[in-house]
Amino acid sequence: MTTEAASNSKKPRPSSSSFSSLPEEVALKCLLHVPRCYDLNLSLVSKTMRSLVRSPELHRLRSQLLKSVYLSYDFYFYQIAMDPSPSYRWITFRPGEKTTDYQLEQRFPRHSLGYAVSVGSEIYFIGGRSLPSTRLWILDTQSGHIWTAPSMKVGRSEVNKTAVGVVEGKIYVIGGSEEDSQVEVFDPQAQTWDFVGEEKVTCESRFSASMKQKVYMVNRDGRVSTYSPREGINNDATEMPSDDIIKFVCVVKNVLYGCFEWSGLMWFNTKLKVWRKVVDRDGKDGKLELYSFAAAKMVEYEGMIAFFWPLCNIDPFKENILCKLIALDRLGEEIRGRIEWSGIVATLPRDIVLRDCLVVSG
Amino acid sequence: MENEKKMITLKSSDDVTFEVEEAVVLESQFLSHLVQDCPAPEHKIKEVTGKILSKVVEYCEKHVVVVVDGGDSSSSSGDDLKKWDDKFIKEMDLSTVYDLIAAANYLNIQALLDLMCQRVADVITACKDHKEIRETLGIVSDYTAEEEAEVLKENEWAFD
Repeated sequence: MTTEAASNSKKPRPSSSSFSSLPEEVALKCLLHVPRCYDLNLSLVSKTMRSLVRSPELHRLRSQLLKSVYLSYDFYFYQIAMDPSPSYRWITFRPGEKTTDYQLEQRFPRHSLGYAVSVGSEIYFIGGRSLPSTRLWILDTQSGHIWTAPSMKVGRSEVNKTAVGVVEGKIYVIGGSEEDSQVEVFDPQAQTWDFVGEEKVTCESRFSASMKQKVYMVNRDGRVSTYSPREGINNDATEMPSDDIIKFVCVVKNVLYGCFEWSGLMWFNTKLKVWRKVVDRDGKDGKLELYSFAAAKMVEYEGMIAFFWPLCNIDPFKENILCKLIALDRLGEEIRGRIEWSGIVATLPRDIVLRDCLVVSG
Repeated sequence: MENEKKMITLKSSDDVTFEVEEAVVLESQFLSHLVQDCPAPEHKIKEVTGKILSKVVEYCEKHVVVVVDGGDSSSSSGDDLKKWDDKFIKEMDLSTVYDLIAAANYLNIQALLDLMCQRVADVITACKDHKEIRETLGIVSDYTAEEEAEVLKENEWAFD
């Protein structure tokens, strides 16, 4: 059978082809792909458009796509010496939006929750903080429900250097025990822990992040080693910035970044095994402009780096948490950072210590 | 190959016919139900014109899930498909995009619908202000000058 020639009559189409002719659910689908910063422009287009932009349905669809930052802190009730153990609190926010307190501290004192890693909309707390524990807690941030998942085979704590990585949806735990131990893997589907291979390994690293099916482990001095479920540990020599200490690492768009005490924000060239400075708009050292060396926390957020700083508040008993979102562009052999957004995300009591900083879906 | 590929004929509202493999039709949830429920050799789709149906068929033929022996589909196909999609939407004017959105919505082809919605979003984000959005999307403002000023005022903080 062959395709008939189109009848040459120019029949008018039943629907006029325009944005206004789209069914509401489809129009919302289009708007879902438009970043929030265009909300005002859209609201000014027409009343119909404004009601779409402000509709609870769009809000609901967006919140499914968006990611939130979860920041925990220890709060020492100064003056009240009765209870020396600090309370453990959470706040959650999206940079640029309202912050909400997240009450977790009542039921779960900090000492029972170990190394924190986010997987989708859940936060996994692996092992103990100061004392080794085999426990795994899982917090579902959508429902606020926290439960105990099956325990590890080896007791691990955050104090002993631990590397945790997510590779192909499974959680790998390396080190974290007092002696050399086998790598353990948790399968969230089957809810089971297993040893990976026979080899016992030590973790020398304070920081870890996952990228391209590997767990990157970074020492305080910037030395990088990798673990992959297929190839095991790889300790190739790394060229390190001299006399500098790394404070945090994260992965953004398949590049490993480290924030150093003196050198500021750097990225790791995995081919040459060398740390390179992130430059500013003019291609110069980005340290001053990004002010990264003073950051108190760093995390990947929506393809950018989010830095957090404590900042003075007018009220002497409070302090603000400032956030800067750094967009990163590749420029030939360099990576350029530019401040995409900056603002106060929360006001917290003074004398707190920031703990976990995680990004979760929802 | 033991069994002949089953062919199905689709007929547009303006009687343009397209002969496609059954696998292509299965990309559309609406059509796959239609074909299962009523095994006629030809199906008329009154809501879609020939011009748009040809685009739908082109898209579905490209995206049809190819299962090679052992179910191993080559990994490069993902990148190639993305390039193809980019080219597919770039060559299209907006009125075709709207028609294709309506067709994808009606025929229930999620991936095509998403692709087209992304295209509209890209057009919106490329506009520098609300006037340009109106112009591009062909929307006539129903605001009075005062009402427009009011919306701006409510949102003043957004300019900080």
